[in-house]
Formats: sequence, structure tokens, C-alpha cells
Amino acid sequence: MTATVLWITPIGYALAAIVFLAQLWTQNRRLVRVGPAVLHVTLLVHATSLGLRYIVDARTPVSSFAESLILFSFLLALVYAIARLRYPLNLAGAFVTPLSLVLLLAGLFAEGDVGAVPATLRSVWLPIHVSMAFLGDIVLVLASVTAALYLIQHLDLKAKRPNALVRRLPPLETLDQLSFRFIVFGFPLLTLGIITGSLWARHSWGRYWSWDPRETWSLITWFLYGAILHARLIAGWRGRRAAILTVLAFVILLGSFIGLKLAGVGQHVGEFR
Amino acid sequence: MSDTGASPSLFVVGLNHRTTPIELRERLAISSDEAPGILTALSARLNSHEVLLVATCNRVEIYGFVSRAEEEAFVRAVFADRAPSLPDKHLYEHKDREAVRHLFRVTSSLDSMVVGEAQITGQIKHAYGIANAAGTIGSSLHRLVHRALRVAKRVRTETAIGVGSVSVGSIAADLASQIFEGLHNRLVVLIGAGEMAEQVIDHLRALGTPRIAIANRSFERAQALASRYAAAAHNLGDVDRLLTEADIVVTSTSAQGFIVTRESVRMAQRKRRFRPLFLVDIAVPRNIEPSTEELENVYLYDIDDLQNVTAVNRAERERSLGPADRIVDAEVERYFEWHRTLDGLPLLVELRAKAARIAEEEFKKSATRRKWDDDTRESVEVMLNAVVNRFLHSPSVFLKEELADPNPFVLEVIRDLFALQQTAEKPDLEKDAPQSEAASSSVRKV
Repeated sequence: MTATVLWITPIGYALAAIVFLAQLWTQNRRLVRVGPAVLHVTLLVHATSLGLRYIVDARTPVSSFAESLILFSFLLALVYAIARLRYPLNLAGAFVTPLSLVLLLAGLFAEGDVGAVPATLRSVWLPIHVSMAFLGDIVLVLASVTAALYLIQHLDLKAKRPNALVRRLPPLETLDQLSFRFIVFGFPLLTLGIITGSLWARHSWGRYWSWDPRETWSLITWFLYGAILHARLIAGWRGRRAAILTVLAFVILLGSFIGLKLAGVGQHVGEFR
Repeated sequence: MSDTGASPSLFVVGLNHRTTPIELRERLAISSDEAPGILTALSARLNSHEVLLVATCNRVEIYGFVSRAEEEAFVRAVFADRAPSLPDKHLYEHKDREAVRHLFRVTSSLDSMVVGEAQITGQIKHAYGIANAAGTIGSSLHRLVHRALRVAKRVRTETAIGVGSVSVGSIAADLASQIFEGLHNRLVVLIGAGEMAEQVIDHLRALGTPRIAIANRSFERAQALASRYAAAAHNLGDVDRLLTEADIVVTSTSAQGFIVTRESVRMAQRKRRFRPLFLVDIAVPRNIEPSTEELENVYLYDIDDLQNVTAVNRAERERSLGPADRIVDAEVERYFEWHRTLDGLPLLVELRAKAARIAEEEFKKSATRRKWDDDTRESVEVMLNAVVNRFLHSPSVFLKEELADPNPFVLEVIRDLFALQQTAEKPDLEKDAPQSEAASSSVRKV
């Protein structure tokens, strides 16, 4: 029953993605309200299925890599939907919803049989750690998406060959400020994610920090985004350089999240089959 | 209309934004100060003495009425003298009918970088004014330019070409809105206070209410323009200081050499903490050092870059060229038709007028002497008209046929035969010149 509900969600994301892409392509004014509406309904379905799983199956929905992908896809779409209410991010939907869809499908297919939850994953710190870390990651992903949009706009202006699609993007300044704000918002979340993670590690393994690859990469990511903040606030970086650095940080973030899982090393991997 | 030298025909040599990149155009640019010298020098070498020079940031064209092939060489030589190694591929030439069509198309803004923009019409008027002051406008060019201006007006009112037109100003404004989040309270610095600068500022003001500073070589002109926009007027010496505060800089002066150098922008960018800076250089030769573009968060567009931007929707606008070109074609036909009848037509009119005058004088003399009643008066009037018409019938037919390909000698003989005065149309240049000035200044206010 809970699985069926969960399998409806990718259809919702696919529809939302189609509408957002169609809007980007045709610039049809009527679609402006349709995309977010589809997305909101999908989020509701997704939240329900996650809630059912938590209540009916009595599982924290982060006890496997596949489950965390599914949660990640939800949080990504949720944060985007919230951010969209305040910022001119309508067109970013065309990037965020397909990303959510891919992550969700990857999670659903990787999930397979749901086994018993290992003892080390039963901790109050786990849900707090995971939601903090994920929210931080997601906001930072959005920072990188806007930075990438900035670079697209920038390259378009430099190429002197305007592209009708690119001209619909928000102005450079807006993208630059937005990317910066996401980092200002995402960096403390990432910090909290790392702190709660070490508290959980203390609870589960008796050590705050054991330098496993995941932890090391998280620290590198933290330093990178910290460096971007520093460059922007103290050294006065803005525009192209800051955007390149932010996109670069995203690549490393992605590496720490997925790459290490695939490489199959470290205690995070050992616990998440 | 032929090469035999009987009557001079129009000849044009030129280059434009399509044939010649800006690097070359700026070397060939002819300033308003230089134009009279070039005009009079060339005029002295042509039999017709009629020369017009059109020099804008997008084109340099020389129109002359020539009767012999050697005279065409004199026109070409103007370009050869300025740029001895200029490859031929950059220049185009048109003769006679094609030259007339070219002038009509240029004036109607069909050949513009931004098809349909209204500036070129004013620039043609300006070119006419300069040539007129230099004494190189005769009756042929006078008629031609005025006809061209009328064609431009027709094209503008009868086709949609001007409606969807994208001007340099609106392109600059579009680009600005790709960079800035609104222009409220931004500083826009205009260097040079010409018409182009005004057009750009008008479009930028549609995006918000920027602060405006105008720097110009002549401080008075800067002030004159500044007063219209509640802007601050500056000397060119203030440019470096203005750069440190500017968000958008528009240069349009006729200066030789760079007014804004890479170094000055680099210094300014450090003070501005690398906020995005949008530079628009619509001057030819360019006012902003091209390598400034390489600086961090600096976006520099020169006139050719703006053209690239228009290329996207050019295809669309070129479709609306069809109707406009048909008007031009029809007008070229009309011009030559009219030109043909020009010398014979007044003769026929004069002949008829003279006959009518004589008939009326004689009628009045007889009528007052004989006290005719109304009936008689009417019959005599009818009879007189009949006589005049029948007498003039065959000369009229002859003249109309003759007018299709007029022979000046025959027309001369007829004039002598009927003792008609020599009243070949002499254009009233004094009357027209100030009018065109007034017209171009009204364009400026739009």
C-alpha cells in the first residue's frame, strides 16, 4: 500500500518537469501557474507516502542509501517550492524537477527489499542529522544551480550572440545575489548537519569524529562553501569568479554524497547497505 | 541615363556595416569637419559638380552625378586616398537606376543595421545640409534627396517597418535588463551628447529612473541635454571619476582615440568592487578600448556587437522588407518617369498657358467693345477654346511622345519658336535647407 503511493510520485515530478520545460521553451504565460500547482500536489503525495512509511512501517525513511535518495528528492523539491515563493526562480523549476525525478527513480529502483533496521541507525540524532545535512546540501545545490544559470547568462552576454532562451533568465545581478543568499542560508545548515552527525557518531560508535571518507569530504565541502562566503564577504568577490567556485563546490558536494557511496568505503557505507 | 555623356547619372561608392568590420570603418570614418573639404575637392573634378557624402557610424557613401567613366574613378579615389590598401570586397558601387534605388533604400532605413530605425533619415538630411553648405548640391541632387526623403516617409507610413523596429537604444536597454535588476537609482553616464545618446537614454529610462550624468567635449551641449533629463553635466575630464560610480556607460563622441581606456576601467572596477559594468560604445571610431571587455564583470558592446544582437530578429523583420521594397521599386520607377517628363512637361504647360492667355486677352478686348449678350459670350468662349485646343493638339501629342526620350535641341527650338522664356526649374535651396534643419531637430526631440 505505502509502496503504491510512493510509485505515484515520479509521475507527478515528470508532469511538473514537462510543464516547467514547456514554459521555459514556449514562454507561455498560462503555464506559469500550472507548473507550481502540479509540483505542490506531487509534494503532498510524496509527503504522504513518506509519512505512511514512517507510521505504518515504523521506519525512519533514511535507513538505506535508496531511502535517503527518495528523501533527498523530496526535500530538494520542497525547498525549491518554498524558495520560489520569494525569489524569481520560476525557470529554475525546469532544472530542479527533473533532478528530483531522477533522484527519486534512482532511489525507488535501488531500494529492493526493505530489511531490518540496524541498531546503529536507531538514534534520535539520526533524523536530525540527516534532515539538517540534506537541507543544507539542497540549499547549497540551489546556490549552485543559480550560479550555473549566472554563468549561462554571463557567457551569453560575452558571446554577443543572444539566445532567446537565455534572455528569459533573471538578470545577472539577481542570480548573483540569489546564489549568495542560498549559501548564506545553506552554510549554517551544513554546519549543523556536520555537528549533529558527530553527535550521532558519538552516540552510535562512541567517537565524535573518525575521519572516514564521508566525514572528510563533508569537511572539504564545508571549507569550500566557507571559502566562497569568505571570498564574497571579505574579499568582495562577485559575479563570474564566485559563480565558478560555487559550481565547483557543487561537483565536490555531489562527489561526497554519491561518489563515495559507489566507491563503497567508509563507515557510512558499511551501515547503509 | 546613358553612358554617352549626354546627361549625368547617379553613381555611388560606399561601404557599410555589412561589408566592412568596425576596425576598418573607424579608420575610414569621415567627421563633419572633414566632409566639406572632401566634397568641394571632388565636386571640382566632376562636370556636374554635384556630390553628396553620407557618413554615419554604419556607412560611408559618396554619391555623385557623373557623365563619364573617368569621373567614376574620381569618386572611387576618395576611398583609395583614405585607405590605399583597402580590399575591394569592402566597397560596393551602384550606377544610375541601382544607385537611385540604393539611396532610396538607405534613406528609408531598409539598408540599416537596425532595419526600420528612424535615425538614418535625419542623417541623410544632415548630409544634405553639409553638402548644401559646401555648395555641391545642384538641381539633380536636390530633387533626388528630397524624393528619397519622401519615399522614406511613405515607407514609414505605409508599412510596418518602423513599428516592430529594434533601435540601438532598445537593444542596449534589453541587454541592460539582462544584467541589472531594474535601473532605479543606477548611474548612467553618457559620453557625447548626440542624438544616438538621447535615443539610448530614452529607452533606458523605460526600465526605471536612473541617475544620469552627461559628459561632453562642449560643456554647453552637455548642459543643454542635461537640462532635459534633470541630469548632471560634466566635462570630458570628469570621465575617470564618473566611471567609479557608473553602472552603464554610453559613448557616442566623434573623438579620435579612446576616451575610456582599459586602464581607467580597471582602476574604476577596483573601486566599484567589481560590480557589473555595462559599456555601450556606439561611436565610430570607437571611444572605448576594445580590450576593456576582458576585465572582470565588464560587458562591452560596440556598434557591431549590437548588430549581432539584432541578427536574431532580423530575419523576421526582413520579411516585412517585401512591401517596403515594392514601394521603393515603384518610387524608383516614378522618379525616372518624372525625371523624363521634367524637361518637357513645363514646356507643354507653358505653351498651353500662353495660348489660353492670348485667347482670354483677345476675348476680353472684343467683349467690352461689342457689348455681347450672354448667349454670344458663351458661343465665342466655346469657339475660342476649340480653336486653342485644336491648334495645340498636334504639338501636345508630339511633345508627349518626345518627352519619353527628350531631345534638348528640339525642346530648345520649340521654346524659341513660341518665344517661351527659359524657365528650367531652379531649385530654391535657400528655402529648403532651413526646413530640413528644423525637421532633423524635431527628430531629435522624439
